[in-house]
Amino acid sequence: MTLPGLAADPGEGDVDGIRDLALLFRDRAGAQRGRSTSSQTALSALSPVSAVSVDALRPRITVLAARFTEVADAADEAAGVLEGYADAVADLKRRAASALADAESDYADIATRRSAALNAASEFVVGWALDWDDVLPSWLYLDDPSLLDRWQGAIDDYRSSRAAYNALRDERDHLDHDTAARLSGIPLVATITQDGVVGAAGFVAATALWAGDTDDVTAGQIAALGDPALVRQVWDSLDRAERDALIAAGPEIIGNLDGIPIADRVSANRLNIEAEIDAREAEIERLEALRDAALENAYHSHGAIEQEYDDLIAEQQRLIDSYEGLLTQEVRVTDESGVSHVEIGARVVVFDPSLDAIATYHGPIDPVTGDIPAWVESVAISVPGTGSNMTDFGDGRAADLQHAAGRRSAVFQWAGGAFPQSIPEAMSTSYSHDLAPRLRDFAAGIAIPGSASLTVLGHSYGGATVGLAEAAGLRADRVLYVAAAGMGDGVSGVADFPHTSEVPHYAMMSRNDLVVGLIQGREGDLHALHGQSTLTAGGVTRLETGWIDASDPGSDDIEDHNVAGNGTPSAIDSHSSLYTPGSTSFENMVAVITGGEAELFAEDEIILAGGRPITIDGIDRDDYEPTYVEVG
Amino acid sequence: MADVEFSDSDFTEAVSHLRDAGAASVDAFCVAFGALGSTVVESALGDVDALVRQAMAALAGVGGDLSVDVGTVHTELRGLDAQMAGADG
Repeated sequence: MTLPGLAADPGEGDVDGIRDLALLFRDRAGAQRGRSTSSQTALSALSPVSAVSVDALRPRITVLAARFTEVADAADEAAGVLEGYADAVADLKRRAASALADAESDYADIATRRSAALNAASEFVVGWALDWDDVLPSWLYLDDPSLLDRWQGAIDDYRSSRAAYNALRDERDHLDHDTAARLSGIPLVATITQDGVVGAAGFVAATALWAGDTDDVTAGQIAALGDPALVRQVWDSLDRAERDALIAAGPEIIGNLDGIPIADRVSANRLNIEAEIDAREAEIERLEALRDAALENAYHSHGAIEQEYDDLIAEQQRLIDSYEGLLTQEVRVTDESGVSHVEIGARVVVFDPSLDAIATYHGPIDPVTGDIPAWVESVAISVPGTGSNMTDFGDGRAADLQHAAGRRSAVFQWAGGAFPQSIPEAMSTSYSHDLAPRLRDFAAGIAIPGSASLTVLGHSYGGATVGLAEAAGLRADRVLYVAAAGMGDGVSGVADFPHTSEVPHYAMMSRNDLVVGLIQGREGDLHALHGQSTLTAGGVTRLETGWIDASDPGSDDIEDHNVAGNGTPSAIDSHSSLYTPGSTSFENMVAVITGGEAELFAEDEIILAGGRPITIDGIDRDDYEPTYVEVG
Repeated sequence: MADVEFSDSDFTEAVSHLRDAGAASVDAFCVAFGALGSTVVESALGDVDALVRQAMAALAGVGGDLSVDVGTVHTELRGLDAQMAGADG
């Protein structure tokens, strides 16, 4: 009989099976204690030995013995939890059986009372309209009203016994969650999983790290740790040969894994780039074969067919040329003492064509750690904007910024995913939502020297991406929005940022920016395309874009500077000429990165001339004197 | 030579015990987690089981490595001892 409204069986499970599971863990605990004893006995056996080489083994054996005991304790604790769970489930089974019997009896009684109240004819006439818990209205009932009362009483009794049964189900649910929490709280489990940070996929590497046996971990297992700090711990536990083997076996993982040192990511990505070049060359061969076959079989339009394939082949060759350029790029590196030398090959720290992801590093690399040297004081991550892709992502800007910021600086140029390639595509916020968590994780995986600052700057669509990354938990010491489309879809201000709401924020944009100037949301406008405007947000300091040559006030304002030969007016050029080395805007970027002095935005002046209002750019006012802010 | 003192039996005993510690772990029997009657508990116990098994395997690996390292040290010390004995004539 199916009883209405009855919950699932509170006594689900096999008590004997649960006790068998407890016994399994008890057996394991015993075995591990035995191994601990064996280790301690080995240590005792070596105690009479006097030799330096044995002295080095003693702590390892001691740790091993302790670790066996930890596992034994964990297994014993799990067994204890399971034994308690078995007892509780057994008790629930017994009480549930009794409660179910009561409910079944009470439910059967409803039918009895209903039959007593309604004769067959009445049941036929009105019974179809009555649910199991309905009683015929008294005004319709012509017989003894006490029969209706008993009928209702039976329904009420069933509701009570059903509630008692369902309460046991609630008790079981509570027991299950409590048991699960106790199991997850076993000290060894909490230690290895870092209190739940490491998911099941990362157990192998996390346990290997805990046990001190990382020799056989794979790149995939390290990646499954999901936490850059843990990834770094495992990586640091490996020797050079083991790291090189992992790079050779899994370059596509190691080259893109947050937490791996820069030098090793660069080595892995060199392999990835070479492999991608090989793949593009194979694609060219395939296209050439298809072209030749198509031409052979075509009766007409040979020219069009050839052009179609040649265009595809040219695109592949363009990619190859770009990737080879990364491998042969000359990189000037300056060490702490100021001595420069040239290295061959861009420092590619992200390279994943399947995600359209690429990032490069500009700055010194510590030969021992393979990472940013401890003497570097300023680190920056620069995010480009619309139009960025794997062959054109503003790498040169990062080089310019790092060169201008000095040898104690390091700059990453990060385009870790697909960016919109046109203005219409940039109307979509989906790219920024996909990029934001990746930017956050990339920043989290950088080993910033202890006393160095991290500045994250984003240009145009990249600015909105930076804002969304902040909303997603990005950690940085300073943020700079450069002609940003906004602070990110749905972002209303710095208060939305869990870790950067209190850090200095800066913004700059030319006064006549036609690319993003027209989509800037007004203050408090949550529905602007890419969120709150960086120019009017509370807590964001606007900096001056100034002149194309900061040292020459007589040079073009950024707003008036027209880049020769590109066919676009200054109002379009001013969106990107901010990155011109030596310009006021560029100098301000460097100031934010290095913590120097940045020129504040000069408010425009509106005058009346010939009865018409005319706006004079702040820096063009007769009385203009630049004011500065010390970057915090 | 006062800096190095050992007997072969010390090492053979140590290696033997470390080999015991490094032997592969095998559960005496298999049980089904379905007996728990709860997906919540099953998931949590599954994690505990995986971690304990991984830890047992990893530690067995460490034990095995240590038994090899102790054996290696023993071999080196015996070689050194032989050299010293030869030098003493």
